[in-house]
Amino acid sequence: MFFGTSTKFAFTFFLSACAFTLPWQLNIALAVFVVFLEHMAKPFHARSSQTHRTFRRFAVHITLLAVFIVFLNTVFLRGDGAKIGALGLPLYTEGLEFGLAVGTRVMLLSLSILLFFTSTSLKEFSFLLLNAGIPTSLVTIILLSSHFVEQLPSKIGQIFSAQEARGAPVRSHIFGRARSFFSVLSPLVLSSIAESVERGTALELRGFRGQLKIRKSEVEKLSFPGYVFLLLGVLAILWKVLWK
Amino acid sequence: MQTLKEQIRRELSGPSLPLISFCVALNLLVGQITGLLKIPIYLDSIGTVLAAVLTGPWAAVVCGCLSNIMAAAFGNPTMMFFIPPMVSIGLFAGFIAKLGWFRKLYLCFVGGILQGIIASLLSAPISAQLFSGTTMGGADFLVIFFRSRGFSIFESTLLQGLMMDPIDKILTFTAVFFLTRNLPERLVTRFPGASNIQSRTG
Repeated sequence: MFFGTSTKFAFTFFLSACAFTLPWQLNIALAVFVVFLEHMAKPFHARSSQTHRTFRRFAVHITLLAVFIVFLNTVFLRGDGAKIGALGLPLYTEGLEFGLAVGTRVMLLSLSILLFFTSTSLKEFSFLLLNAGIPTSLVTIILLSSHFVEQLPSKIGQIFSAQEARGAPVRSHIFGRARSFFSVLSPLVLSSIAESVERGTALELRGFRGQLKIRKSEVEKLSFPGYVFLLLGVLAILWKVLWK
Repeated sequence: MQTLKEQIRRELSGPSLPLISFCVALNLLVGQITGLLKIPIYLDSIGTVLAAVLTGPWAAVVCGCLSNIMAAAFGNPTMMFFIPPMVSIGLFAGFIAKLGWFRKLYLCFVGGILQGIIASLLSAPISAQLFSGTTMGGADFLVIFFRSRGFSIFESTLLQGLMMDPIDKILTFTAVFFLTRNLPERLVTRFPGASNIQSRTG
């Protein structure tokens, strides 16, 4: 496949390397390109409309965060740069430049990593890891973790409501809330450890030894563009480390 | 004396696998609970320490690495670069658990302080070199505060780490001490680190 999971991974690596090496103007251009890709390029489409909404929300959130980082640095970071006061605020050029470099770096990095995860299903990601030689037991942990991540918020909500009904001070002053934190956490840990023991026994009874081999037909080779992205990413990092 | 390979295999099999998965999810979701209760702490390594105590250091290292990778997938990519401090938390917590430090509360305090110092020493260069001190967390304000006082990026991130990390780790270690003390023995004995803690019978 021209733009399979491994090529997308190489592309994400390339974008992440760019975030650390390119100037802020190019980082902004690449961040816009990433948002464009999510909308227009089929291999990067979100897996569901909900994931698409999450990506859009996150893009807005990370842009606002980048603006906030720029603002904070421009106001507080004086350095030796010139003062460019505006709107009654003391603003500094050194802080502005520093804030733009950091803010756009975080923005491009976040968007590129999220682009990969919103357009890749858990199954594709697992195959990518198995392909890369990651042991099956580790891939199993990742899959089980995603199951727990999905399941735990509702469990937490239930425990939270139950403790509130029992009169735990979940909405009182800070020390009361800190105390009730443990009254939420303790039953959650206990029930999840009991569940872990059951799941572990089930895995052992089914003969799970963590030595799954994937079929040859399921092995996805890295395409030519994938190699190019990897090479460019490595070169960008080397350039940053050796020449900067 | 079991070899390293045997130890890793022992820690990454049976009920330990689902436990590590739960601990990864716990690392990711404790932030959600603290947000819900509006407590100004992170406790984002509580799962790693729990895995270190119940199973061992290698399971905790796996738990810590996967937590940071998954945190990146869930919208905080800077976490991916903080795997070395997480590895140190897993190894250190596993090591002191084997020494029996999780049987006494005051030793958990000492462990938390030491761990906080180690974690801040490891995370400060990463934060300063790669992100210039901005990691999308609440502590960014402190870094900017120190920078505005004339400290360098590295000094600012180190000072911020030394101020925040020991408190966070003391709370994490104490939380794990109380959580594991309340676990019934019949459950704990299924894990390789059963001897590390003082569980209740039942």
